[in-house]
Amino acid sequence: MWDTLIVQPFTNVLLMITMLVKNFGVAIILFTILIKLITFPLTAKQIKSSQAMQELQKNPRYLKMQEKYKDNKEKLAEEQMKLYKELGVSPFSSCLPTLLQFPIILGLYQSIMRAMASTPLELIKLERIIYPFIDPNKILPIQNRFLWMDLGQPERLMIAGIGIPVLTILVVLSTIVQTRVMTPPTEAGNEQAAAMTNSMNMTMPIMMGFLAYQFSAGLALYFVVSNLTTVAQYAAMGKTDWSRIFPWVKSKPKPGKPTIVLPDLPDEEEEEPVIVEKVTKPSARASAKKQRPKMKK
Amino acid sequence: MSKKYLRTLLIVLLAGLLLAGCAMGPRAESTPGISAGENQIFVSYLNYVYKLDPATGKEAWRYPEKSNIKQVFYAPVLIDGESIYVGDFANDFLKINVSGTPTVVWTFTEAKGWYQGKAAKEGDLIIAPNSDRNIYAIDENNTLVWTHRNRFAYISEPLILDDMVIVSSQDHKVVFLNKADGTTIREVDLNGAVIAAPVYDVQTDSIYVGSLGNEFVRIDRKSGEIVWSYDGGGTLGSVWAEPIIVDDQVIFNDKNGKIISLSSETGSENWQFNAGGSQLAGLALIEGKGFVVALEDGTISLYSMDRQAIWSRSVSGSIYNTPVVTETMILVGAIKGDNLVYAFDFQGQPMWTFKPEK
Repeated sequence: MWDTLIVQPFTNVLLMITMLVKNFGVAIILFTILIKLITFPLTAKQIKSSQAMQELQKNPRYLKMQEKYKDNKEKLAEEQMKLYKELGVSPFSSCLPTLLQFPIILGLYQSIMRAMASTPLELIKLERIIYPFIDPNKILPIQNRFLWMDLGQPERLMIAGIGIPVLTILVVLSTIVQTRVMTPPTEAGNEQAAAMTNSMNMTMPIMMGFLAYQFSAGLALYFVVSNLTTVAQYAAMGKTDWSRIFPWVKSKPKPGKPTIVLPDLPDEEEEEPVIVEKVTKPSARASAKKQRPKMKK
Repeated sequence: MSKKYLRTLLIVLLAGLLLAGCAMGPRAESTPGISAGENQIFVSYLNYVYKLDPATGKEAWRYPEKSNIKQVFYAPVLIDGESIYVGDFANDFLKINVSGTPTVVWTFTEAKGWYQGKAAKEGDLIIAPNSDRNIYAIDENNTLVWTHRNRFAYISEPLILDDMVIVSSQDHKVVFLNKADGTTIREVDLNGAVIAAPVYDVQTDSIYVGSLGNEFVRIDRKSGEIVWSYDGGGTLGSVWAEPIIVDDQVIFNDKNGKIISLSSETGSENWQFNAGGSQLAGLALIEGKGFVVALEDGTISLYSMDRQAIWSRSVSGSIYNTPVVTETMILVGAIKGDNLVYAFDFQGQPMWTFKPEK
């Protein structure tokens, strides 16, 4: 099912692009961009939702609520949900597009791996999933050479006898750029969030770099193109603060129209303590029950 | 450091480790490489080369003793007296002394790609095909004699003939090289990628090989000319395996299950029949008895030279490799089945099976 619906069509599109451009490396680049363009509506939705959440978190009512219920997590969650409902936003709406994109990214990865068949067995399997209108004799085996790389092997550029993992370096750099673009700046005073952001910004490039170093160059090429396309998509939506990536750049993203418009909500300060009391204070009956000594039978 | 921060860091690290675990080692799927010599059987599969006892199929030893995740063996070993030569997916080519406990004599480390095909040897020259698009010629002392580079990975066993090395290329060619220095003598163009190794017939002084371009050809060794080409009037499927040569006929199979006999001299069709299933493995000749057909679905059959099925057996798993015939038995490698190797006698009686112990 997974193969028929996702991997097989992806692999065939990748092979068709390869037949057109006669270069597998260029085909990976074009195919990645194509998939990114197709999934752009999802990415855009994700960006908008995440921005809406950020805006919401700056709202005075939201901040007041945080302060007020800092010792009552349950109540805080309840009030937050109320607010989300009133404003028509959902904290999960930014996750959903990501989740929907996940199988596509996985399929893209698998189709690249499938097309780079390097053993006879893999070649047979590849031949069997090629659609009838593609002549396997014209396309198989795929020429895995791209620039100095063998796309089926981990990439190293030999300079003076030393293998330099150029693509790995590019993966690390592009992941740094991408994570910085995607992660919103943390507000002053929120050390916990800042620490989390820093850990993500540090760990993701290292992890991706390690994978690129170990995996075949074809996949590392996909990582680089995917990262750069994501950055380009953010930039196209005007959501990129380039000064976060290039400190010498002064410009900030244009303020633009807010994603959500927060209505002036009534201050519920007077009403709230009653609710808090209701939750935190035990009832008189419960207190009496608690204080009542147990009767020995 | 807050708990939330620690938790996030831990999740990211775990995900990293998990993905790295997947990434470690070569990501390639292949089939067991079986080689048989005088009273010895070797099987290359995943992280080991196994030596089996031909009488029982029991493991005599395995190399290396402790597996290395990056060291994967699929290429069949080349047996040369008390030594074997085998390449791995860690880009190393090894000479191993197997007279007792396996001992590495030397390791050739200059290749940048995987060794998938069996090496060939004549005199003290070893010819090893590699996925980095090179053919490596190495001498007995592990000195590189020459390399020959092409556009595609070399994955099939080279053929050494007098002063020539002939090798199939995925670049739709059969390449003739000078054995002394690796220079190209000639390249013969075919319609599709050539996966099967070339087979030489001394009677016609010709090379016989099929391609994925639905053709089977005879190439004159001296001139490199295609003497004849067979496509069965457009009905032949892709040819993945080597033919067998019996007297004046060359017999081969295509992917769709056809078994075809041609006159080795003229290429005219003697007969053909369908074995009844997809076959990627080649035919194996048993002198005086017939030929073994192995279908992908695990069916093994022995046919007489007049195409009569003598016996048929079924094994668990899929067969992609040509069965190996020794003096007393037929060895069949299978994947995704209960066992890795199945041994049958010439009457089709199961002798033993081999499944590596973890």
